[in-house]
Amino acid sequence: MGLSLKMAQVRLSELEFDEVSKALRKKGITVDTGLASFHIRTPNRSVARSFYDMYSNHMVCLQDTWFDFTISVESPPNLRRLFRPQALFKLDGIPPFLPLPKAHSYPLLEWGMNWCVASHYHTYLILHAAVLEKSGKAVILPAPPGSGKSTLCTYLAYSGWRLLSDEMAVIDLVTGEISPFLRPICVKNDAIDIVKRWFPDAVLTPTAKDTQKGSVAHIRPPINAIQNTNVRPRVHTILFPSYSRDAERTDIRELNHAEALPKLLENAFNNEVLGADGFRSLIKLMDDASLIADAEYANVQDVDLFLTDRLQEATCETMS
Amino acid sequence: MRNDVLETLILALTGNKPTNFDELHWRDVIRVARSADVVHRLSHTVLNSDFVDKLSDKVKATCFSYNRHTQLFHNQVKYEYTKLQKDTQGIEFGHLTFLKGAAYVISDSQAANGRIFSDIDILVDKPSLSVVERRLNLVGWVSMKGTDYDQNYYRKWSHEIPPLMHVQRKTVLDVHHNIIPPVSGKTPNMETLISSKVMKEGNFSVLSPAGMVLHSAVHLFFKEEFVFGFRDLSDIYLLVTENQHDDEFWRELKALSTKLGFEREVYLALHFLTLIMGWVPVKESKVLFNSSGTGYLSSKICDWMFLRILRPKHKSVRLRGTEIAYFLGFVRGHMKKMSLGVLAYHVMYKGFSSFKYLITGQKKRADLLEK
Repeated sequence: MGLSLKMAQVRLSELEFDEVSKALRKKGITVDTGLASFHIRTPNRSVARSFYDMYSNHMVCLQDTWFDFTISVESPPNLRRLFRPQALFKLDGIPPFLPLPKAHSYPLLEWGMNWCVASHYHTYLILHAAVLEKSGKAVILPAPPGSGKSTLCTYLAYSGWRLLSDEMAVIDLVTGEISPFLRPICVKNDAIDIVKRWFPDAVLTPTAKDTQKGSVAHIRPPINAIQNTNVRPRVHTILFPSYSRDAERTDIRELNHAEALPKLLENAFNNEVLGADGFRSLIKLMDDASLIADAEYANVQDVDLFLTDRLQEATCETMS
Repeated sequence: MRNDVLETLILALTGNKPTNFDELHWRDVIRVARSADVVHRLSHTVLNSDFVDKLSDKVKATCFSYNRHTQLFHNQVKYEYTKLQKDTQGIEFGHLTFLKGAAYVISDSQAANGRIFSDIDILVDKPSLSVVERRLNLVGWVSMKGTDYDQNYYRKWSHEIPPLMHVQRKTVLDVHHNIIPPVSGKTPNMETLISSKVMKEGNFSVLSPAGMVLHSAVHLFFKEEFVFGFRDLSDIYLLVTENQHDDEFWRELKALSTKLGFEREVYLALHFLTLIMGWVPVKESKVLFNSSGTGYLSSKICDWMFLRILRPKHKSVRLRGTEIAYFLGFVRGHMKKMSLGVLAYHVMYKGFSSFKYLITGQKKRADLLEK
């Protein structure tokens, strides 16, 4: 598992789309996401297009190399494909879940990749959370779907923070270090247009409508995120974000461990797998964090300013 | 027939030392193991072997992760075992015997090493079935939704009640009253099988090692679906090698298989342990299980079929003709299990379901996730 796909790696954007599309159809492409590497195949040209757009800053390998998972998105073998086509995700040639409508092929690939890590990587504590870093310190944003986590994450990732992950905080059980799991950011519903307005230059996939999560689109992670994947920061802040349209101002309230623990548990993917070790690592995570807080926010700039201030204070303290 | 990846996998699973430690070779070994549901067992044997240091860090990290996963399954079984003991207090029942994966864990068998499972199987004597089921319902185990057809099929023809799921913990419990369905017309006397049981706490028990081998062999060769055939064969390998130097084990296995009428299944299990897992038969097994009981031609066909069915299904290791072998195995399994009339009805219903899937692409979740 890991980062160093040394052999003949190239940045995806250095390849032509036709070459990438052909490789995805035939031998497959191995992409390095930091935490895990995926060997991906798909005969679907629109999936290839979105993959090419989303991972253009990522390092890939066209040769036979190490990978952690070999996955594909293809059509299931039934006649339904003639009138209402579907897409099927496979790991090692076996579909772990039901097919989705073909129009959801790209989100299916991304969700399948999340599933691979969440259900196979048990040497890490995995939280449903975005992770960003500034000056070597990490901020973890755990939140259930619908809290505005990904919207906030996108804003921060495009405003000077380094993105480590939008979907999963992957924390080493022993060292407490956070591994980057660098993937496109998934935004939903209204957030899609908001993000397009904020960052007109950001690259998004076409919107997939009527998925289980509503309308979804993915956003290419900024290049600075991919350039520093070997830096593994430690946690500084755990912030539970929740967007409130009606809030007049952003309200940030510090939490003690007893208040924070159930909220962390609620967002833990594999806590029951890890048993006592998982519980201990949650406690350690809270001990390591300088700040644990709830943030009911009215706008993302407030959260950015607040977090940046707290990190600067911490940096000044260490220096003086 | 030779395949380097499969050879390494089998050597590792049988506690032997492979010859190739190349990282990409092992990447492929892990893929094949994952698709055959033996990646946890591979991880366990690799991490406890004397060649672990020859493997790359990536391979070892992968194994560590799966090994931790195994721990979850085993903790869960041990927890449910204790919980069931409390929950069945105060009711009268004949016996409650843990089977398969859960039994391997409870009895600390070698076959528990790296064994994971999606449900816990127990065997209850038929007269106690309703009292046990009612009590289980009372403490939170509820019948998993199935279609009326499925519910009816289970109640009428099957050797188990429809699976129960615990409402809070989501653990799945399979309650059997026989090891094969009565619909087969061959209802082995469960009293004979459990006469060899080993008592555990309270009046819970597990089968003796010979009983476990017999059950596993029947499970493997008396069914029509073989998704995890290779995994099951590797269970039998561990059960047999753990006990093969005990004469009593062989005598008991012979006696049980004769009384219950499963000599052929046990013979086949031992035969394919040799052909696929490279097991070397010991003297007792050669004396007691020396004949297939069929003619030359049918044993050749049987070999051809099961050598394909019992291999991992991953496309990098499968042999030509695998699809045909699976189809033959499907027909053979059904013919053993059902009378012709029931078979025709069942195949018609299932055939209609597959036809519906072919046209609409709508498939029951249970079919897809079936393990």
